Amino acid sequence: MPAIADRPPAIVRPTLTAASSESKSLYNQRLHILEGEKILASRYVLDGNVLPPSEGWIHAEADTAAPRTLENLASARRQFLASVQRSHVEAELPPVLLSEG
Amino acid sequence: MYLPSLREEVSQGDVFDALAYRYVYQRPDAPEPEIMVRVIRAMLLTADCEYDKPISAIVYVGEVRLMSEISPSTVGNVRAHKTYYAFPLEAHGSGLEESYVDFRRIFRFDKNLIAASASASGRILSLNDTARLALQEQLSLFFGLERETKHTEGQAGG
Repeated sequence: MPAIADRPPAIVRPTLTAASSESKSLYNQRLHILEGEKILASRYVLDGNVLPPSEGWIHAEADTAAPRTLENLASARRQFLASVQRSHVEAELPPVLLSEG
Repeated sequence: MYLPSLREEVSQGDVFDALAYRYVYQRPDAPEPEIMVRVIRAMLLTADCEYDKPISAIVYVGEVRLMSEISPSTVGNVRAHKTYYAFPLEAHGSGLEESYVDFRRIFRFDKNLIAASASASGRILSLNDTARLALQEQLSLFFGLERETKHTEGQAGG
Protein backbone atom coordinates (compact mmCIF):
# COMPACT_ATOMS: atom_id res chain seq x y z
CA MET A 1 0.00 0.00 0.00
CA PRO A 2 1.66 3.22 -1.09
CA ALA A 3 1.82 6.07 1.30
CA ILE A 4 -1.03 8.49 1.11
CA ALA A 5 1.14 11.24 -0.30
CA ASP A 6 2.34 8.95 -3.13
CA ARG A 7 -1.08 8.22 -4.45
CA PRO A 8 -2.60 10.58 -6.98
CA PRO A 9 -5.60 12.35 -5.60
CA ALA A 10 -8.94 11.70 -7.14
CA ILE A 11 -10.41 15.05 -7.92
CA VAL A 12 -14.13 15.27 -8.17
CA ARG A 13 -15.43 18.24 -10.04
CA PRO A 14 -19.03 18.87 -9.26
CA THR A 15 -21.34 21.20 -11.08
CA LEU A 16 -22.65 24.09 -9.10
CA THR A 17 -25.99 24.26 -10.79
CA ALA A 18 -27.43 26.84 -8.45
CA ALA A 19 -24.43 29.08 -8.11
CA SER A 20 -24.34 32.58 -9.43
CA SER A 21 -21.62 33.57 -11.85
CA GLU A 22 -19.83 35.36 -9.03
CA SER A 23 -19.89 32.35 -6.75
CA LYS A 24 -18.81 30.09 -9.63
CA SER A 25 -15.85 32.36 -10.17
CA LEU A 26 -14.98 32.21 -6.51
CA TYR A 27 -15.48 28.49 -6.53
CA ASN A 28 -13.09 28.10 -9.44
CA GLN A 29 -10.54 30.21 -7.62
CA ARG A 30 -10.84 27.92 -4.63
CA LEU A 31 -10.54 24.88 -6.86
CA HIS A 32 -7.38 26.28 -8.37
CA ILE A 33 -5.92 26.85 -4.93
CA LEU A 34 -6.87 23.38 -3.79
CA GLU A 35 -5.34 21.73 -6.83
CA GLY A 36 -2.09 23.35 -5.85
CA GLU A 37 -2.25 21.43 -2.60
CA LYS A 38 -2.52 17.93 -4.07
CA ILE A 39 0.40 16.64 -2.11
CA LEU A 40 -1.46 17.31 1.10
CA ALA A 41 -4.56 15.36 0.36
CA SER A 42 -5.18 11.77 -0.59
CA ARG A 43 -8.51 12.60 -2.06
CA TYR A 44 -10.23 15.81 -2.91
CA VAL A 45 -13.92 16.01 -2.55
CA LEU A 46 -15.17 19.25 -3.85
CA ASP A 47 -18.88 19.05 -3.51
CA GLY A 48 -21.20 19.10 -0.58
CA ASN A 49 -22.90 15.79 -1.19
CA VAL A 50 -20.20 13.20 -0.83
CA LEU A 51 -21.00 12.54 2.76
CA PRO A 52 -24.34 10.84 3.05
CA PRO A 53 -27.20 12.97 4.25
CA SER A 54 -27.69 12.97 7.95
CA GLU A 55 -29.58 9.94 9.08
CA GLY A 56 -31.70 9.23 12.07
CA TRP A 57 -33.63 12.45 11.92
CA ILE A 58 -34.92 13.32 15.33
CA HIS A 59 -37.99 15.45 15.34
CA ALA A 60 -38.40 17.95 18.07
CA GLU A 61 -41.93 17.19 18.99
CA ALA A 62 -45.07 15.42 17.99
CA ASP A 63 -47.04 16.71 15.05
CA THR A 64 -49.73 17.90 17.41
CA ALA A 65 -47.43 20.41 19.12
CA ALA A 66 -47.74 24.11 18.43
CA PRO A 67 -46.24 25.00 15.06
CA ARG A 68 -42.79 26.46 15.04
CA THR A 69 -42.32 29.34 12.72
CA LEU A 70 -39.61 31.93 12.35
CA GLU A 71 -41.84 34.38 14.16
CA ASN A 72 -42.63 31.99 17.03
CA LEU A 73 -39.00 31.07 17.49
CA ALA A 74 -37.95 34.70 17.37
CA SER A 75 -40.63 35.58 19.91
CA ALA A 76 -39.39 32.87 22.26
CA ARG A 77 -35.89 34.18 21.86
CA ARG A 78 -36.98 37.76 22.62
CA GLN A 79 -38.75 36.58 25.78
CA PHE A 80 -35.67 34.69 26.86
CA LEU A 81 -33.41 37.68 26.22
CA ALA A 82 -35.76 39.94 28.12
CA SER A 83 -35.80 37.59 31.09
CA VAL A 84 -32.02 37.36 31.08
CA GLN A 85 -31.74 41.12 30.91
CA ARG A 86 -34.11 41.51 33.86
CA SER A 87 -32.20 39.00 35.94
CA HIS A 88 -28.95 40.75 35.11
CA VAL A 89 -30.38 44.08 36.14
CA GLU A 90 -31.72 42.63 39.37
CA ALA A 91 -28.46 40.89 40.10
CA GLU A 92 -26.45 44.04 39.53
CA LEU A 93 -28.55 46.27 41.73
CA PRO A 94 -26.74 47.05 44.95
CA PRO A 95 -28.56 45.61 47.98
CA VAL A 96 -29.15 49.07 49.40
CA LEU A 97 -31.16 50.04 46.35
CA LEU A 98 -33.19 46.88 46.57
CA SER A 99 -33.98 47.51 50.21
CA GLU A 100 -34.92 51.09 49.49
CA GLY A 101 -37.31 49.93 46.80
CA MET B 1 -36.07 35.75 5.85
CA TYR B 2 -33.16 37.58 4.25
CA LEU B 3 -32.26 41.23 4.19
CA PRO B 4 -32.57 42.94 0.82
CA SER B 5 -28.85 43.59 0.96
CA LEU B 6 -25.99 42.31 3.07
CA ARG B 7 -25.47 43.65 6.56
CA GLU B 8 -22.76 46.25 6.67
CA GLU B 9 -20.53 44.06 8.81
CA VAL B 10 -20.01 40.32 8.74
CA SER B 11 -22.69 39.00 11.06
CA GLN B 12 -24.17 35.91 12.60
CA GLY B 13 -26.52 34.34 10.08
CA ASP B 14 -24.55 35.38 7.01
CA VAL B 15 -24.29 32.74 4.31
CA PHE B 16 -20.91 32.17 2.70
CA ASP B 17 -20.28 30.44 -0.57
CA ALA B 18 -17.39 28.11 -1.29
CA LEU B 19 -15.60 27.78 2.03
CA ALA B 20 -12.96 25.09 1.86
CA TYR B 21 -11.90 22.90 4.73
CA ARG B 22 -9.73 19.83 5.07
CA TYR B 23 -10.60 16.91 7.25
CA VAL B 24 -9.68 13.31 7.93
CA TYR B 25 -12.30 10.73 7.10
CA GLN B 26 -12.07 7.07 7.99
CA ARG B 27 -14.32 4.89 5.89
CA PRO B 28 -15.33 1.76 7.79
CA ASP B 29 -13.93 -0.57 5.13
CA ALA B 30 -10.81 1.41 4.22
CA PRO B 31 -7.39 0.52 5.60
CA GLU B 32 -6.27 4.11 5.87
CA PRO B 33 -7.98 7.36 6.57
CA GLU B 34 -8.44 9.77 3.73
CA ILE B 35 -7.64 13.42 3.92
CA MET B 36 -10.35 15.27 2.10
CA VAL B 37 -10.95 18.81 1.11
CA ARG B 38 -14.52 19.91 0.79
CA VAL B 39 -15.93 23.14 -0.44
CA ILE B 40 -19.18 24.00 1.20
CA ARG B 41 -21.70 26.72 1.67
CA ALA B 42 -21.98 27.64 5.30
CA MET B 43 -23.65 30.02 7.73
CA LEU B 44 -21.72 31.96 10.33
CA LEU B 45 -22.95 30.87 13.76
CA THR B 46 -20.56 32.81 15.96
CA ALA B 47 -22.28 35.73 17.65
CA ASP B 48 -21.50 39.21 16.39
CA CYS B 49 -19.80 40.47 19.53
CA GLU B 50 -17.65 37.37 19.64
CA TYR B 51 -16.73 37.75 15.98
CA ASP B 52 -15.76 41.36 16.52
CA LYS B 53 -13.35 40.62 19.35
CA PRO B 54 -9.76 40.80 18.08
CA ILE B 55 -8.85 37.93 20.36
CA SER B 56 -11.36 35.65 18.65
CA ALA B 57 -9.24 33.92 16.05
CA ILE B 58 -11.61 31.03 15.46
CA VAL B 59 -15.25 31.24 14.43
CA TYR B 60 -17.89 28.60 13.84
CA VAL B 61 -19.96 27.92 10.76
CA GLY B 62 -22.71 25.42 10.06
CA GLU B 63 -22.78 23.63 6.73
CA VAL B 64 -25.59 24.64 4.39
CA ARG B 65 -26.97 21.63 2.56
CA LEU B 66 -29.64 21.22 -0.06
CA MET B 67 -33.15 20.48 1.14
CA SER B 68 -33.53 18.21 -1.87
CA GLU B 69 -31.22 15.65 -0.28
CA ILE B 70 -33.68 15.04 2.53
CA SER B 71 -36.33 12.40 2.11
CA PRO B 72 -39.76 13.79 1.24
CA SER B 73 -41.22 12.42 4.44
CA THR B 74 -38.82 14.51 6.49
CA VAL B 75 -38.78 17.77 4.56
CA GLY B 76 -42.04 18.91 6.13
CA ASN B 77 -40.62 18.54 9.63
CA VAL B 78 -37.50 20.47 8.69
CA ARG B 79 -39.51 23.28 7.12
CA ALA B 80 -41.62 23.43 10.29
CA HIS B 81 -38.50 23.69 12.50
CA LYS B 82 -39.36 20.39 14.11
CA THR B 83 -35.99 18.86 13.42
CA TYR B 84 -33.51 20.12 15.97
CA TYR B 85 -30.40 20.20 13.87
CA ALA B 86 -31.79 21.49 10.62
CA PHE B 87 -32.49 25.21 10.33
CA PRO B 88 -34.45 25.68 7.10
CA LEU B 89 -33.41 28.28 4.56
CA GLU B 90 -35.72 29.55 1.88
CA ALA B 91 -34.51 29.65 -1.68
CA HIS B 92 -33.16 32.99 -2.82
CA GLY B 93 -32.59 34.54 -6.20
CA SER B 94 -28.90 34.96 -5.50
CA GLY B 95 -28.47 31.30 -6.34
CA LEU B 96 -29.38 29.60 -3.11
CA GLU B 97 -31.75 26.70 -3.55
CA GLU B 98 -33.99 25.75 -0.68
CA SER B 99 -31.52 24.49 1.90
CA TYR B 100 -30.93 23.95 5.58
CA VAL B 101 -28.14 24.61 8.04
CA ASP B 102 -26.99 21.31 9.49
CA PHE B 103 -26.08 21.91 13.13
CA ARG B 104 -24.49 18.47 13.22
CA ARG B 105 -21.88 19.76 10.80
CA ILE B 106 -20.44 22.74 12.55
CA PHE B 107 -16.86 23.57 11.68
CA ARG B 108 -14.28 25.94 13.06
CA PHE B 109 -12.61 28.36 10.71
CA ASP B 110 -9.84 30.85 11.03
CA LYS B 111 -11.64 34.17 11.18
CA ASN B 112 -9.25 35.57 8.61
CA LEU B 113 -10.59 33.08 6.06
CA ILE B 114 -14.12 34.23 6.70
CA ALA B 115 -13.07 37.86 6.39
CA ALA B 116 -11.20 37.08 3.17
CA SER B 117 -14.22 35.30 1.76
CA ALA B 118 -16.40 38.28 2.60
CA SER B 119 -13.94 40.60 0.88
CA ALA B 120 -13.99 38.37 -2.21
CA SER B 121 -17.79 38.46 -2.55
CA GLY B 122 -18.10 35.09 -0.88
CA ARG B 123 -20.69 36.43 1.53
CA ILE B 124 -23.94 36.05 -0.34
CA LEU B 125 -26.84 36.55 2.09
CA SER B 126 -27.70 38.00 5.49
CA LEU B 127 -30.59 36.84 7.65
CA ASN B 128 -33.07 39.49 8.72
CA ASP B 129 -33.55 40.20 12.43
CA THR B 130 -36.46 37.80 12.91
CA ALA B 131 -34.64 34.95 11.23
CA ARG B 132 -31.51 35.65 13.28
CA LEU B 133 -33.48 35.41 16.52
CA ALA B 134 -35.07 32.21 15.28
CA LEU B 135 -31.62 30.86 14.46
CA GLN B 136 -30.44 31.65 17.98
CA GLU B 137 -33.48 30.00 19.48
CA GLN B 138 -33.06 26.85 17.43
CA LEU B 139 -29.36 26.71 18.26
CA SER B 140 -30.31 26.93 21.92
CA LEU B 141 -32.77 24.11 21.49
CA PHE B 142 -30.22 22.02 19.65
CA PHE B 143 -27.47 22.45 22.21
CA GLY B 144 -29.53 22.93 25.31
CA LEU B 145 -32.64 20.85 25.16
CA GLU B 146 -32.39 17.48 26.75
CA ARG B 147 -32.84 14.73 24.24
CA GLU B 148 -34.94 11.69 24.65
CA THR B 149 -32.38 9.24 25.99
CA LYS B 150 -32.36 6.06 27.96
CA HIS B 151 -29.73 7.44 30.29
CA THR B 152 -30.58 7.17 33.96
CA GLU B 153 -28.79 8.40 37.01
CA GLY B 154 -25.78 6.29 37.88
CA GLN B 155 -26.02 4.23 34.74
CA ALA B 156 -23.65 4.53 31.85
CA GLY B 157 -24.86 4.90 28.32
CA GLY B 158 -27.88 6.72 27.06
